[in-house]
Amino acid sequence: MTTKRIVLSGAAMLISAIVLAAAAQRLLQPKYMSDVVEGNLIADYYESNYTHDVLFVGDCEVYENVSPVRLWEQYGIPSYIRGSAQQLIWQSYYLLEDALRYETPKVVFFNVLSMKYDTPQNEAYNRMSLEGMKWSPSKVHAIQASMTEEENFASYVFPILRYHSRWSELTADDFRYYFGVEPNFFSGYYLRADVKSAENVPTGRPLEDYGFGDVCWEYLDKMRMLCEEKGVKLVLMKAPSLYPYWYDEWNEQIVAYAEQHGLVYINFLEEKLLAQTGIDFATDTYDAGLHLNVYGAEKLSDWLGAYMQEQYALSDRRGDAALDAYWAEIAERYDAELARQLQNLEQYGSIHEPETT
Amino acid sequence: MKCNHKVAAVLTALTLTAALTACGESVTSTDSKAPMTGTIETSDPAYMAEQSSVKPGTVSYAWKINGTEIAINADADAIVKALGEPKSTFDAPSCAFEGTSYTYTYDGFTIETYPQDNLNKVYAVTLTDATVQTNEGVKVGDTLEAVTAVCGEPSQQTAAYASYNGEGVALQFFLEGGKVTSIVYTYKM
Repeated sequence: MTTKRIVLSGAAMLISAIVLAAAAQRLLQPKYMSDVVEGNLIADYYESNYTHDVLFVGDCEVYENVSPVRLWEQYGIPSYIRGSAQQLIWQSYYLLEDALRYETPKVVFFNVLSMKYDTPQNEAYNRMSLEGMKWSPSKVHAIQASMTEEENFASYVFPILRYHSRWSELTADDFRYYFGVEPNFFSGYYLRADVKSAENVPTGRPLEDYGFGDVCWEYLDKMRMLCEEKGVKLVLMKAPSLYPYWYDEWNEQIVAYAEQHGLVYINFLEEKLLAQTGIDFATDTYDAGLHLNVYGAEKLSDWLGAYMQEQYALSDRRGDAALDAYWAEIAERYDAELARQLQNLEQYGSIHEPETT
Repeated sequence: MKCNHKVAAVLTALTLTAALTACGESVTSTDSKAPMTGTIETSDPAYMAEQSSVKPGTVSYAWKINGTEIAINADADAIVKALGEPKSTFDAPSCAFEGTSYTYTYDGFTIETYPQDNLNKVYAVTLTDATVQTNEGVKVGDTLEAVTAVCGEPSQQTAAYASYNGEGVALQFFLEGGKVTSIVYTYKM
């Protein structure tokens, strides 16, 4: 065998091995199409048209509490929620930095609950916030900032290193969605139509230390400066979620920061604001006050839309043919999903169909 | 003699009346020999140290109430079963995942839980009023001096709290004006 043939054979074997490994990796990676759909939130952004006047960044208090479809239909404001489950502030920063490579919105809302977390929390949540990002310096830095002690960077580059053991847990979803998942969100919004009234919501137990960690202030500063650099208006918000408890001591720190830096801070837990939104925690939450359902999200979005038009002179962009068509498709899916959930609630008492075995 | 009998009878009646009146009332006496009547009736540090079932200067991190021990990271379901139905229950599902945290509210205290390893584990216990007390006999309303008399020097102390750190658990006494406003047993890494 000539050297050339040996080299070519070796190369062919290597390429084959890489292709097989990539194929196996795709099969073994979770598809997030059944129980934990939130795993697909981050990747979903890259299916959008990057023409958003408003971006929301943060944890489930944004992706479950704001309805971009409502903002479009009522105000002609195109928006996207770059949210994920238990998104940490440094992840919010890098996701925002990533989004700003694709578009430059006029306003960014950041939900401040994540200021309470100043250390990496949980690998599963990390992966849901990071694996869906397209590779970029932002993703690299986000992973480095987020990894728990047990994690390693290589497993983010080659997820098969992490998910190889899933071979014994493969489900029909892993094969059905091998070549791609179906959209489960509506410009980053996770729709819930069920209702569970808020009752017996506990007040927070006292803490030894109410101070936010230095790293959180560092990333809040970075976010503020990034928005300044890009000419984007940054608005701090605390969503109207009753739990986890939002301490007065935490709120005071955010108020002080906003005042110091000339930022707007909207705390939707304030009685006056809650009254303005019309949110009723007897009917507008699906999990006893942790998150709003679609009825609450639409009320909050109505308030936000009016506020943004008044404060930031956002124009009504309905009438733009391309945008109209784009949002018509999202709204159609949104209405269909709402109808599906309502039907399931009536039939099964749950938004989900019963599992078939 | 008759006068002596009458005087004795009156004195006896007065004494009995005084004794019956004293029982069940909260007495902020500094008399270290004041009687116990089922609840701690005095915040005198020396008295508390004497009456505590725990050796003074030590801290018990597993709180006992009505014969049930509540330890951090213990199986909360078993504890709730032993304690009986709480006044209220609040459940907070974890974002995205299965697993729910609970807050059980009882008279005088709450139990917070977190899900781990398919178990509902105790994360924190908060004593919210003076109807309950720690194993050392400390309750809401006691002074910081009373706390340190029975628990010893705290691991950490500020004007707002005195904290005793055990392995994986902290016993925290939150203070306002030098008096305990709430008591928390909590998981501590």
